[in-house]
Amino acid sequence: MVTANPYRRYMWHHDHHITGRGTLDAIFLYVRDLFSYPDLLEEGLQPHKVKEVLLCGTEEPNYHANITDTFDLKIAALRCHKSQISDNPSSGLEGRMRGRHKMLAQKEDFELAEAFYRLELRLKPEHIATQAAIMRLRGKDTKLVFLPP
Amino acid sequence: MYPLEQAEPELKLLTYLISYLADPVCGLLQKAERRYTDSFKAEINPNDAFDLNRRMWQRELCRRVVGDPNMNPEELARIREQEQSAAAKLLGVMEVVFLRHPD
Repeated sequence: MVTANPYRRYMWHHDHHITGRGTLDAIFLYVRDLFSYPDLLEEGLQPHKVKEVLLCGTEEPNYHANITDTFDLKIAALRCHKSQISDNPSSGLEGRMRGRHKMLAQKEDFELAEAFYRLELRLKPEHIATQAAIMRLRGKDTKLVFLPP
Repeated sequence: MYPLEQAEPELKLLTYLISYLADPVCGLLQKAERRYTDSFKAEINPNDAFDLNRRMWQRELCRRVVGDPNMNPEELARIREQEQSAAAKLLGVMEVVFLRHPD
């Protein structure tokens, strides 16, 4: 799962804070908990366990992805956002971005890097088994407490 | 020691001068701000304390993007969605879901 870092300090877009925080709340604990959405469970949708989270816009990255081969594609995708980014080649967008990603790759053995804060999540199989056992004990007709995100 | 008794009338005069100069400037600013907010006061939700601020930002965004502060924010959102979809297609993203919550 890739989302915005909700804990970037001082200056950050408010909607990025909210998006990041909401996504992390969903990852831990709502989407992996059997009791969060009993209505979805009845529809046959099982809890989902996210194994890895990459937070972009972080000030203290602990993971650098190699984007040397995909940098041109990134610039082309950025240029699709015409209302936000100037399409004029003289705007220096590509040069600025290349410089930024080169700086992020200073300690790596590749040329251009994208920086993230990487989180690894683990859920032991016995946690899932315990939740499933509680569900069985309660029975299908038991009303569960619904915790909205 | 600074002679406070002697300075007091000077301070009074200085305060008077500042207020004399600042009042018209503040008045003009307030007038401009009032005219700006009056132009879309009818659209503001009186039960939402953040509505005015949001409206002002929406207008500012529209002015920056298309040079028109009166552009409908929904129209701007439609433009942004088209741009996002085009970028996603280029990257090979199979599906983009827009939640369409207000910014």
